[in-house]
Amino acid sequence: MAYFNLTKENAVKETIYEAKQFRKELLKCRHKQDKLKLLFEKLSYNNAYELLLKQKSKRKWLRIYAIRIDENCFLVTGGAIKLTQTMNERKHTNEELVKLEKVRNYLNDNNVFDFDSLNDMKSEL
Amino acid sequence: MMKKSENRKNFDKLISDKKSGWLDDAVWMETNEAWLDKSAHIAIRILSEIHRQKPINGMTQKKIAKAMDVSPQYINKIVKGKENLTLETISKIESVLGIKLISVEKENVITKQIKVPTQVAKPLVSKNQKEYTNLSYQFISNYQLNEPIPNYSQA
Repeated sequence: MAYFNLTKENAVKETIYEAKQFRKELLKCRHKQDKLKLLFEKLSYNNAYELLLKQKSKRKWLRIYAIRIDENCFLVTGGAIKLTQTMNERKHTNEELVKLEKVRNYLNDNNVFDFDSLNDMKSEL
Repeated sequence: MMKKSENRKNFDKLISDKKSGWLDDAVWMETNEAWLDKSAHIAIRILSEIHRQKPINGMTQKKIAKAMDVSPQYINKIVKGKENLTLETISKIESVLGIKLISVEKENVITKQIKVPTQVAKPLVSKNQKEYTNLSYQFISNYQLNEPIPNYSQA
């Protein structure tokens, strides 16, 4: 199916470019962790977030999914190329939703609700 | 509601014992970005050419490997776009696929502006010689600051 009248080669190039921008943005957060919250946008799904490039572009399809644990603490659960309106419409994005749900349940069961409780859980493992 | 043990089982399936090492990888990719970009573009070009030639001559990664006398694993590594290719390897792939992957510009193409310390340019002509003023500034880099202005009308 043609998407934005793109050739396969150009679609690959654009995806590589997007991934590169993600990398650059995340690397910037190494020293300025308070910027992390600005990178992620809230999903309609409970406490789940997605990393989406906030630059002006007609097409952005790469996503990084995460659960927000604290203001600037995100637990990345996976990533995908999202071409549909909702995540349920395609198998691979639906799998990301399932992952988010599993991780969220696990964190709830282990009383992880902030950065400190996450560290407590990690030390107990 | 899922049981705790079931949650743990599901969670364990998703995680790995190994550290992702994303930060080290990201820093390495950032440092090597220039050639990695070129390698990725070459990989895309090779894959698309294999795809184009496949129905015509049955081209595959395996065929390229055989023609180049290397392992198919090596070709697979190349098409992942993270291989620091030598000119020899590139030329061999070009020859097998019958395409041009890289070329060297004939003319000097400036990709990076080198900063030259700026010199304060004084007008080379007096205020009453207004007709030459613009010309003097335009060619200032080619002449010494106190040299006489060339007479272009007689050239």
